[in-house]
Amino acid sequence: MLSLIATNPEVRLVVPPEAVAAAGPAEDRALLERCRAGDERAMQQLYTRHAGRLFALARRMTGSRADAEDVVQETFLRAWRSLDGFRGEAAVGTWLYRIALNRCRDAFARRRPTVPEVEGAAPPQAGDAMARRSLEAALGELPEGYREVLVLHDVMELEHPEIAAILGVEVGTSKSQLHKARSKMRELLAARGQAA
Amino acid sequence: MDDTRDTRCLVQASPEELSALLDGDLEPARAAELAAHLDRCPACCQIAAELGAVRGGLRALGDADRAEAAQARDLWADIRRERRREVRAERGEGQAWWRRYWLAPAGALLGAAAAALVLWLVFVPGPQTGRAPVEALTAVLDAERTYQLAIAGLEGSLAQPQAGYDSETQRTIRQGLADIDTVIERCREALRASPDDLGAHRAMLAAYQHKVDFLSDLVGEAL
Repeated sequence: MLSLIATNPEVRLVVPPEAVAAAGPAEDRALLERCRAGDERAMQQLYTRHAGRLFALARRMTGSRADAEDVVQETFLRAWRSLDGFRGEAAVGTWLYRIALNRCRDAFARRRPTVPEVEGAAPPQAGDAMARRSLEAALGELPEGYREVLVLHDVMELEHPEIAAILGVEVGTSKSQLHKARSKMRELLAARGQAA
Repeated sequence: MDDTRDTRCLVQASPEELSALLDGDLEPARAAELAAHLDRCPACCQIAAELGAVRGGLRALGDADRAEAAQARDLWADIRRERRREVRAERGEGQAWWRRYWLAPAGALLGAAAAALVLWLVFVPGPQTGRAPVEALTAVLDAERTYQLAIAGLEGSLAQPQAGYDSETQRTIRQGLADIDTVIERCREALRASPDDLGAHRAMLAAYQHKVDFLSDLVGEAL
């Protein structure tokens, strides 16, 4: 990094999600306008604010850290290329999620994971009811639409209005898909003998 | 566990409905009906518990994912480098002229200058000030000339708009270079007064080295 000018303390991969939520979409929108005006540091700030959540989404959807990094990089490159195409109908974060999800679909289609990697992450915490690896394997077996809504809601803990905006469906459809997906997960885990 | 419900169950709650109950997505009347039913129906109660375990397990996965994301590699430099490359390609510039004509020779010159400086510092140790031996002065002057040539090339390359920095960054870069140039100019003044002052030569080479490091960083970022 530049020894004299790259001392920007904002350069971190992850900003806590609650901090992004507190700052709100208005700040994202202002940053996006600065990006459109050619301000590279504004794009860097958008990256800093959203990269962590996008990485978490991509990690869960692709099952691979390397694929997740590719997804995050490609997401910001695509967003950067298409700044003028963003019409502001959705929040910037939603727009980024949508791009990332499309990249995840491509990555998942290229390499469908059976049992995702477990690499250097925090220790499994899902042991109360079922093993983490069984959960991950069952997620990988779900139909794409089910997996997406389940990850966005139960893993990423997004609300249905944002999920609906990301997936381009009605809120009711998002809820309906979620409950079908959760029910399917239960069946898959039962078939694996892992249900509580 | 299977998906059968208690056949004596008159309410006939589906797993989807029980999942919706967990999330509070049901109409209040239906939610109350199902809640009361769960008190009486062990089979539906078991299904609801399993669905709750699925939800809880996935949330725990989310916590682990967020912890992993906090340790993930910072990709910003890669993204910026790739975008700058795309922009140059979109402008039809291909490989910028300064990269074609300057980076390779400038890099070689910088390497030669650095080697000369290291050799001089190793083999001609001496006091920080005082009269310099002729050999040392010759080596210093050679290194200075090499640095100046390399710096001129790098400065020329970075003066081009293709460098792609925003205006604030460009101001910071200009200020950083100006500060280093001020030091170099002071050294020159000292050497004009005392051409063989070894301390002044040392200070000037150190300033050159600082400038070379700075410019090399900039070029590295621009690539």
